[in-house]
Amino acid sequence: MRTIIIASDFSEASKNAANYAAQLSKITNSTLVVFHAWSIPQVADEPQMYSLTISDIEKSQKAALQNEVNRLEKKWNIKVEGSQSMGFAAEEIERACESFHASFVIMGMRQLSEMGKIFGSVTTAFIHKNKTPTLIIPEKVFFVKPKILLLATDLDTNDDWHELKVLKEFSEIFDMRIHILNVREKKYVTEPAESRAGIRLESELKNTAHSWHFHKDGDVVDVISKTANELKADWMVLIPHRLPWAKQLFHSSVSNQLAFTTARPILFLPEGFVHVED
Amino acid sequence: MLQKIKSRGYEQFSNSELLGIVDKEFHKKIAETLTTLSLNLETAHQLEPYEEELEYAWTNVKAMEELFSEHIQKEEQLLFPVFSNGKKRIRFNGEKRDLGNFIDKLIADHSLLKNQITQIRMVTEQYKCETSATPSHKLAFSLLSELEHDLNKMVFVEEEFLFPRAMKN
Repeated sequence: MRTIIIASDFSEASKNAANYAAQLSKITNSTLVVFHAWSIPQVADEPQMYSLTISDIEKSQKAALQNEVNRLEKKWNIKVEGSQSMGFAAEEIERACESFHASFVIMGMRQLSEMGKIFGSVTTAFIHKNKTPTLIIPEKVFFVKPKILLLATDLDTNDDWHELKVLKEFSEIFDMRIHILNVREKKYVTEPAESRAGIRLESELKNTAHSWHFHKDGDVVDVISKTANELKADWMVLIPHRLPWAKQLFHSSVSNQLAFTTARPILFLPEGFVHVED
Repeated sequence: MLQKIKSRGYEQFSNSELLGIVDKEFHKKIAETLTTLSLNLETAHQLEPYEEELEYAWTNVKAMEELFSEHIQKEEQLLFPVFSNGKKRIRFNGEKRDLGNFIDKLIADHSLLKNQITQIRMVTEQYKCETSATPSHKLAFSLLSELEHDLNKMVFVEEEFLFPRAMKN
């Protein structure tokens, strides 16, 4: 762990995620950066409406950012950096990750919105595009040392699972056990390519405590949710690009999302991500 | 298939025949035995709570059941599909090292299972049962002996024939 970025919009969910990030950075001896992206609000057509200058907006954002930095430093007795930029949040967060060589991004997740979506538009856009592991913290979830981790995968990959190196590092720090849940959208015989991916995964986790679970019947998201509850998983891990059913997390019906309403952080690992150590 | 087993050695079976034997004759049978055993040991322990060996056997059989379930699923879902049908030589387009690591883990599972059943046999003094024992107790101890026999056979077939075939490239 080197640099953790907490992407904040200063909401309660973001502040909760920042608290989580602060404790994680303390234990992993990482640098914590609070990053805020802002955009220019739409100017009203009415001339008598007070219009803010970009300079005013920037000053107010900077003040809010400094407040958040001060809050975290005081509460957790750690050194925190702050950074902000103007632009579309998902893109700016991505740029910040490159600029700070971030190992990790942490974001807050609000309660279900009225439209029934779990993830906001920024989170959705970022997760689909990002090249940095992203840990999403639900609003009411507080930090506990993660001991049990559930990795849901359909084994549909030709890669060597290098993206799991960050998991292995966590596993050493927190003495974690990784539970691998092999899920598939429909029932069929395992293809040799998937089996080989599973064998490579087993080899990659050779020195890490882990167990295998195989999907039987039922909706994929439902199976993952039930398994996570049965195992009392502290974190869920997904490698989203290869998982068409992961789209359900973002666009499906409320009932599906309610079933998946998670009381645990979700770690999204970009496929092929290589964790570079100093 | 039972006729074929009797008429020739395992080394003469094709991959699909060998997998069929492992699946039907060993995996399914042992899994069923473990389930029946666990139920009978639980009943016996409830009826004879003073018999510590029953509690010991029950605890270990439950652990074996969990380990065995994961073990056979790993073999069936991850190892079996890479065997090509009808041919003895396996094509494995990947690191031999990964497959070797995987098989080492499967062998380690075998050792754990064998160790657990050995411990049960020692604690129960070779599955010795008093004549006054309950029917569940007697059945359970009879099943334990059967389980050990089937387990040893499965380990032999897998380690002597199945795994070496998987490693040949």
